[in-house]
Amino acid sequence: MRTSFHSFHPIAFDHELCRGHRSCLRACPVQAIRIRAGHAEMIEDLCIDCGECIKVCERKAIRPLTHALHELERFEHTVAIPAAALYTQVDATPNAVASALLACGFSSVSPVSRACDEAEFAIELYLAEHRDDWPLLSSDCPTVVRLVQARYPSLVEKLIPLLPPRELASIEARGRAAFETGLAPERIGVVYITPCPSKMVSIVDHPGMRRSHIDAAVSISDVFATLVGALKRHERLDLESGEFETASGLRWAWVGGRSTWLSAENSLSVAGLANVIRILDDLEEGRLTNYTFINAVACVEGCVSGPLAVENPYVARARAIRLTRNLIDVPQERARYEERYRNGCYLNDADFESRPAAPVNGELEKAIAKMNARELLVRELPGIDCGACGAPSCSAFAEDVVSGTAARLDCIFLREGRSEQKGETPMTVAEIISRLDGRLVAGHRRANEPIRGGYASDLLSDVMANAHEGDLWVTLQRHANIVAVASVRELAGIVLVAGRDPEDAAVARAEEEGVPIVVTPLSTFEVIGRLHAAGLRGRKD
Amino acid sequence: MAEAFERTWDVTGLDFTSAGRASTGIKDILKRMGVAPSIVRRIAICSYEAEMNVVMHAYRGRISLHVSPDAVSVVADDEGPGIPDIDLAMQEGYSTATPEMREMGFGAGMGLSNIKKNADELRIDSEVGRGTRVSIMIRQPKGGPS
Repeated sequence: MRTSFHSFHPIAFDHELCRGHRSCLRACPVQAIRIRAGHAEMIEDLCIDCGECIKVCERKAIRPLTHALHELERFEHTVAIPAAALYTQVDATPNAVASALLACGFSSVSPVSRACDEAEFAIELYLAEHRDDWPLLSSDCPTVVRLVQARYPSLVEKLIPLLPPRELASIEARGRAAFETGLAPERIGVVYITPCPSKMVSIVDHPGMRRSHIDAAVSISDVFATLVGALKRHERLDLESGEFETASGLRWAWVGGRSTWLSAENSLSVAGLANVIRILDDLEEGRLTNYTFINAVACVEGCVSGPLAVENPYVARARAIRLTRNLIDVPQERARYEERYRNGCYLNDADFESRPAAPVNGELEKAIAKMNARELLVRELPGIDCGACGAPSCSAFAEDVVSGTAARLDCIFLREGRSEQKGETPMTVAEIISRLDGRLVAGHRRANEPIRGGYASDLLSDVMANAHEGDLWVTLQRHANIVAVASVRELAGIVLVAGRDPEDAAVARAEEEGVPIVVTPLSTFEVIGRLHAAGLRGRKD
Repeated sequence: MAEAFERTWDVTGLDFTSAGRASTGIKDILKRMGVAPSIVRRIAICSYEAEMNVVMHAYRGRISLHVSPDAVSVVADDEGPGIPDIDLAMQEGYSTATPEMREMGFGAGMGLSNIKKNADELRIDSEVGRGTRVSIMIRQPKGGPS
């Protein structure tokens, strides 16, 4: 009965680069990541494409699947549509940014502001016509839409069924480009310059639409260098005179701006997935009924803080505020917009469907048995959410075990209880590396020898006197003498805390003597805590 | 008798920071089990109102969830002042909430009537000076997937 709805995710995990650090595991707001066999993996049914994992991965092992610029060569004419957030990434006017985009290889650039203006107006009209359904939810952030589809199926009907500005801008841009070039519309590539990978979902899976009017999405980070270069050379390319964008468009880029763009009374703006989730919980539990409209975006400052944006979100936000002050608001062509609204030009042409992660009305008896098994297992687990098993929390791990995607003994606590009884083989330096979010910098050849106990001290003579053979030594000293001490005392290895890399001489000597050295970003306190939790103990004489 | 799932949450009177935890937990469990969204939503509304009644009016209480293949039920049991006139309490607009609570947006006098609207069965047992038990039941749809 189980079918995977989420056929497409715009996020790829690179196993070559991934070292199994747990930063993404903790960052994922919907617990959709697991570390399996040392690598991060996505649970497709749970992922809502927010890209928080992309932001935190220091090894760049998680990539957005946006289009590369060279993939646009299949089009005879390309029109770039900048996300409003693009203008906040550099210190330049929208006119200059739009001109500079041409240097990235686009045939033309089309603005997004008018579409924002129209979308805003359409929302107001729609709200006025659907008082009985208040509060309604914004639907322009694809991650919010996915979140609602996956976790709040009963709120799907609250999503406002209107096209987002980027789609409206694309329809307009394609029409104009076809008219100006004489090309058939399908030979024109409409390309959105995006601050987040989730717009790719909107293009490929197009919830609420029979198809998207956008052909491709290119990451802001991919055009950034070229853009900055072109701006430095002061290239002034052909652009019509007058302001390219207006204040109303820029207001969609950050959460403070979004909270002002709607004149509807009692609208509420919320940003950041943790906050959005709390609001959706409230809404589902029957609260917030005195609001008309909930304007929700996944990224904490709005689109300026998207995972593919380059600039610090607070600098970007400051620029957005400045830009909206300096730009004028174009008077709305209300009569024309209203006519277009009445003609259905702004309406979605498909329904948003719910896509719950658990099968609805599956076999409830089985679900009850499974939930009971899960609760029993949770009681056996330590409840500290250490992540060593590869799941983000003990309850997620319990769920994985009852679903058959993880094994009980993946939990180091359950394993420890068992290993004491059965005398299983002790752990090795290689095994503790990922537990300490660390990396092995020397002594690889002896990293698989067993660790018998642990010792922590920064005084070499203390270690000489009191450490035991086979101990793992935790210290902040980084000079070559630590290797000598470890070697003389026949220690299993050295853990350097707080990201302190060993001196070159220490590395050379450790390689020579075969003393494994692990560098971890963690503090001594944290390192010892984790090692103790993993079953390592200090030894008495 | 088919297997059932049960879980309870403790609720403390006037603890507004933790208020709503039980309802959100109940909702999360029902969704994980694949209970139909419409039922989840109705239970969520009922359990939230019942939980808030305990927070606002009682000293302490306990919310229990019971899921069987036939029905989902939530029982809010509290030690508190009790309800002297249940019929009056059921009337929409009637509330004994303090001005402070009203300032926080509670006390519209819609709690119990909201539960009644959403539940298939509602039963209130109360003893003045001892406490109140609110029992809510929503039946699962018969047969296969809807």
